[in-house]
Amino acid sequence: MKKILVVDDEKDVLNLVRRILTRGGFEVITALDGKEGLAKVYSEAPDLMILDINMPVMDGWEVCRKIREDPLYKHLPIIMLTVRRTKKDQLKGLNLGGDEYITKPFYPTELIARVKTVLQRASGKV
Amino acid sequence: MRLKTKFSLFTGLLVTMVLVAMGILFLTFEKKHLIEETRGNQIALAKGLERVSREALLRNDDLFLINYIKTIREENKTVTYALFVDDENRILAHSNSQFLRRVVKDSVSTKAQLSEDLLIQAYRAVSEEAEQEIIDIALPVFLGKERKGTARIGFSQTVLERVISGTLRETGRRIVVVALGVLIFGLLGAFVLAGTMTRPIKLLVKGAKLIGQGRLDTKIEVKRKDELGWLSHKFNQMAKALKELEEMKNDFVSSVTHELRSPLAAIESYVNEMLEGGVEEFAKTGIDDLTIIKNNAIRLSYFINDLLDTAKIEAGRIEIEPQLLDLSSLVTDVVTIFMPAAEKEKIELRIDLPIDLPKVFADGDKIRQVLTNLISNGIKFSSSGGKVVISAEKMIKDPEFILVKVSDTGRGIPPEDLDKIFDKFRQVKGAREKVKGPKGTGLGLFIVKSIVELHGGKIRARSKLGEGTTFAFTLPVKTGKIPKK
Repeated sequence: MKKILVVDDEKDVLNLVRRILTRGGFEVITALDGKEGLAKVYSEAPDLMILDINMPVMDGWEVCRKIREDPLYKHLPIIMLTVRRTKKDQLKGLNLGGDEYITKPFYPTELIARVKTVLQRASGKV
Repeated sequence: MRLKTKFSLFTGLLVTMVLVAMGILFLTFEKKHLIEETRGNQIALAKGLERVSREALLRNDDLFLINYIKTIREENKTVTYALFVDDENRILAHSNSQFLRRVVKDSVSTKAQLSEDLLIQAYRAVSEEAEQEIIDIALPVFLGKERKGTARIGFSQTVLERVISGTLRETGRRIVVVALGVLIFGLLGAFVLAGTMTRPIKLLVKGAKLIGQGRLDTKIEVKRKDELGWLSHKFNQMAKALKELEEMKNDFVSSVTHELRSPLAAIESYVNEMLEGGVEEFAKTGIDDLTIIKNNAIRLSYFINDLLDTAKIEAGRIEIEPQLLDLSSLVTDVVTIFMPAAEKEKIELRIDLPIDLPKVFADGDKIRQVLTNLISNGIKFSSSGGKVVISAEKMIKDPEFILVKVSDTGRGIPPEDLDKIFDKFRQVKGAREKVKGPKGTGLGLFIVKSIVELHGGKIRARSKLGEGTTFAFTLPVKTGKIPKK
């Protein structure tokens, strides 16, 4: 079972994503801020990370940058999930190494589909 | 015309005017002085002639006198004639030997002869060459008490004036040369001075232009210890303040955007989930999901209310409807609402009110808003195991007010930020990053302060880093304490 780490400071969103992914057959772990999320990447070694951007302590941009600089985890697939919907932010997310950029509000089916695509792409790459 | 040109021209004009005035003044006085000096010399010469005449009479030596007269004539160009007339009006010595032994009887001579003392006369004489003004100075010559004659010298005023004006012309020429030098140096100095004045002004203009274009990082490098330096300093401060304002505005816009979108996104995402899930899924999670949707809708409406309240306060359109209120029941009401949230975060909520607390004269809804804001802040910034206490007491200093306090055991506010927390749109920077979940817009405390002040009360925050924060505000117990607009 693939392990997915969801990082978001909005508990309602976190719970919804957890429910959707669990229903989709994934193991889900969560974190409430960027720093906690980064720590869980190292301790839990997830197969994919869903990352919010506006978060306390450390924002999503910073988490993404840190992971891409880490030789061990730089290939970890990252899906950005955020209310920031400008083209500029999307480009920034992709340029920082995000594999997908999904804006909130989202559709459960779409989320599942994207997670699966990214995971497939990642396994093909490795 | 540029400031530099104006300044230089003005200074040049000023220097020229001063020089001209000084030149005229100097020449006038010089002329007066020269005339007085000449008159003195003339009289001294006449006195000399009188002395020599007496000497010649005593020695009975006409030649001595004649020689002396010749010397006078030779040494002084303005002397037209010099003569000695005995008391029978006969010329005994004269600069012009033709006149020797002649008897004089013109009116000038007669007057001179009759004068007992020094006599100065002016008359016009016509000679072959030209008409000229003559100053005649006559002195009686006595031997003992007996008058023996008159010594007279005639000076040509015309020649004298020619000599004086020649001297003055020469002086004038020197003054002009000096003045021209001074003027050139003055203009040069003025130009340089104007340059040092206008350079910083030019820099200021340039800086102002850049700031006007929105480049708020501009710093004007004028390090002078005068008005221009101060102006530049103020200018830099202004640019800095503008930049802060700009940053605050951007911060505000982005946090408002985020705070509006987050609950909306949650609502829509849950609605999507419910719509896609179908009846079966709805039976399992539908009620929970609807509760979440409702809470997010409430959060959104609180936030919009804050924005609208702020706008109202800004426009001065917020009004209160005060009445006598029992504060205890109001506090209990609000605290009850927060109980579940506090329990979840393991934060103790305590009410500490005296039994004999007088009723307050206030707007119930608005005070509820104040308490809600302060208590929710207290819970938000306290970590689990913490405590939020709501207390009140009569004020000893001012019995017409009571003091209400909301204290928490949160992380506290840095002293340098304490005076900023009541500003609108301002949330202490670090706080935004440390709080999980909804962050607010930094409008809450601004609204709280405005409401308390509308009641005629005051609010103050006291805080110690790591130990907690206490907000204390006053409320009136009687009518008539609320300021009228």
